[in-house]
Amino acid sequence: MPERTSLNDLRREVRRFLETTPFVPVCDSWMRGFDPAFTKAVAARGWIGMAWPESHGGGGRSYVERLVVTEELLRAGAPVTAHWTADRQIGPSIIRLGNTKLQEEFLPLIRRGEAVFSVGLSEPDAGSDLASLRTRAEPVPGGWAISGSKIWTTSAHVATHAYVLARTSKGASKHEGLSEFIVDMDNPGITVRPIKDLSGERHFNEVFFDSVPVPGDRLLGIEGQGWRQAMEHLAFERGGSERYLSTYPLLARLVKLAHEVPDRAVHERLGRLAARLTGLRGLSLDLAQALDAGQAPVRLAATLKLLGTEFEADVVEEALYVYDVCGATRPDRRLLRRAMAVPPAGRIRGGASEIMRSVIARAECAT
Amino acid sequence: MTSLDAETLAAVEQSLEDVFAQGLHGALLRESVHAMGWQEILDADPSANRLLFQAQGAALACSALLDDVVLASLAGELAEGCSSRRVMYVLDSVPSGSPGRSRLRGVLLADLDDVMEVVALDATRPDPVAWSVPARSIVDLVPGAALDRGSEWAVAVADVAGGRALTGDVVTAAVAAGRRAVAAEIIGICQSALDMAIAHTSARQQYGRPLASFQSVRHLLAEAHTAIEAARVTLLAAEGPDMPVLPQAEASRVAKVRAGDTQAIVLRRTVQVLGAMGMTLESDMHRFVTRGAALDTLLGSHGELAEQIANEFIAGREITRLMKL
Repeated sequence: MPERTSLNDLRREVRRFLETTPFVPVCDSWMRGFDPAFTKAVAARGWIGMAWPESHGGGGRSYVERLVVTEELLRAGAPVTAHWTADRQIGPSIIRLGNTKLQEEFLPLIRRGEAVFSVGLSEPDAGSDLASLRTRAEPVPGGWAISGSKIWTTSAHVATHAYVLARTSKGASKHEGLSEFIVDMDNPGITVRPIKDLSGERHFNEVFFDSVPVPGDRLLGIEGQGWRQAMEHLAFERGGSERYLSTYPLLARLVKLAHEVPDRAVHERLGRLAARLTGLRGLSLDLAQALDAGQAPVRLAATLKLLGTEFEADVVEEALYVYDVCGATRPDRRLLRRAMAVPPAGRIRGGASEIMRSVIARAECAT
Repeated sequence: MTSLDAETLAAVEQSLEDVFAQGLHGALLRESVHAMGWQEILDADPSANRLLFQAQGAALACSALLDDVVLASLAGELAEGCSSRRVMYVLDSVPSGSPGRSRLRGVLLADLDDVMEVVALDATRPDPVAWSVPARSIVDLVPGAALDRGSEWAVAVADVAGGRALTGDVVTAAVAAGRRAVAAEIIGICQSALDMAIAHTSARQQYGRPLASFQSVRHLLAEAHTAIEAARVTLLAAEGPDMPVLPQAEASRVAKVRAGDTQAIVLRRTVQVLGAMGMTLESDMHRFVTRGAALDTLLGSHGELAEQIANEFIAGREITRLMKL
């Protein structure tokens, strides 16, 4: 693990960057904070792909260092949507599984903050039971043609590229015969339909693929091994600081309100949240160290996601109480209104809380 | 300070398991722990106390080993020439009848036979105080008054007027060490209760299949597991070697809050999946519940300590300062 002083220096460097770079802070800023200019500024500091190996053009830093950077960005509510998915899971997947052409084309693009990725996993008839998905990739001369639809696809309306899990053959079980692809979003065969969420905002979509041609070298990894490969992303996807810091800007505001209008019960509630946050950060640090050691701890990631999203929900719940006791301004109420959309989404996206519980229980019970 | 490597710690854990498997309690248990060379292990790695108290919790053993942790921290400050001391873990203060005289109410983990001096450790305030008083200052003592039937605890009242009051970093460190030990014991209790719940639900069949094959049951067990993991990692974060007193005290308080919260989360679920068994005296599950709740009251309940934590960061400190990466 890097020296504590160097981590503290890095944390200070990110804070200075945030003080001098203009942005509008929001809750859930890794989903709802799309700002290509801000992403370019993050890229200029080398903080996109910072934990990828130098041999692949990455920053060669550790996942613990990346955790320091992502914690600070999310704490501030900085708009990081434009690079979040690419940095977090697409880049690492391409490094692990991608052919040379994919690596040469995409890794520098992502590093520069120029590739906006959406992830095409869920389908209208395949949510938690993802392996029953029906989007097909048919072999055609020179590559594949993808047909089908994906849903809840975050940022598809602004994405330059999509990751798509599709069926390439009928396997002996439904987990076999799936393959992963990288698809250009500017293909005329792709249609994006917006879906507004309960806050009235648009950040996810339904995406339709109508015989979309995909060159053969856009197949990620091994044909038919897509399920196993996709499961390996999960430690990256579920185990980051975005699973407990999405409502942090609201929590920080609650602390300020409690300072202005002291109340013992408010203090106790905020103290309990702070203690939980400490535990979540500990789990997150464990996870980053496991990634640095080359492991993909799916169960630990599920633990962090389950506890983190419950924590985010309780921050919103406690906000109602703190506002009631301490009073709230109009901007406070706006902040809360937008934060209220986070918990329902948090408990579903990246795998529903029920799936997390099942993943954890499977390791726990022999039955 | 040093720390033992993982292999040695695993061996220590196994030896502790063997000692606790004998089913000993009280002074006999303490003797057995000392006989395994506990002091040398502690000299090599002070955080080994975590393993001792986890094992004590898991075995539902009852002893005054916690007193040793507190008294070892205070050793330099206490008067020499006293061969036997007992700690009173202060719960609150009570009226004494005469103005200006303060009386403290607290928990004694064992009897006062042969005890010369009582150290009343008052951690109900952010800056803790340890009152060193003669054993005769205990003016009231109700044995077995604690919620926990399996323990030898007593609730006592001490007249601390005229006693010697210790304050400062040494007392802060003693309270912090005690809180880490209690947190570890609670985590041991929770893990043991969860193991019992898993064993029970894996063995017992309903509708022709084990209870643990039902998703609703599995999810309760998963929630218990995640709560324990979070408490465990929070406690580990309070145990870095060479941590300065104040950050370690803050981290230890957080660990105690998480452990206290966790026993409520875990035991509610383990009792539920045991069905009616969970609330009988025939099953050991009730002992985990009562011991967990009783331990939560020692050195500050999770509610009281949560308020203390918030008082500090609301006064301008950052929340994330609670655990530096």
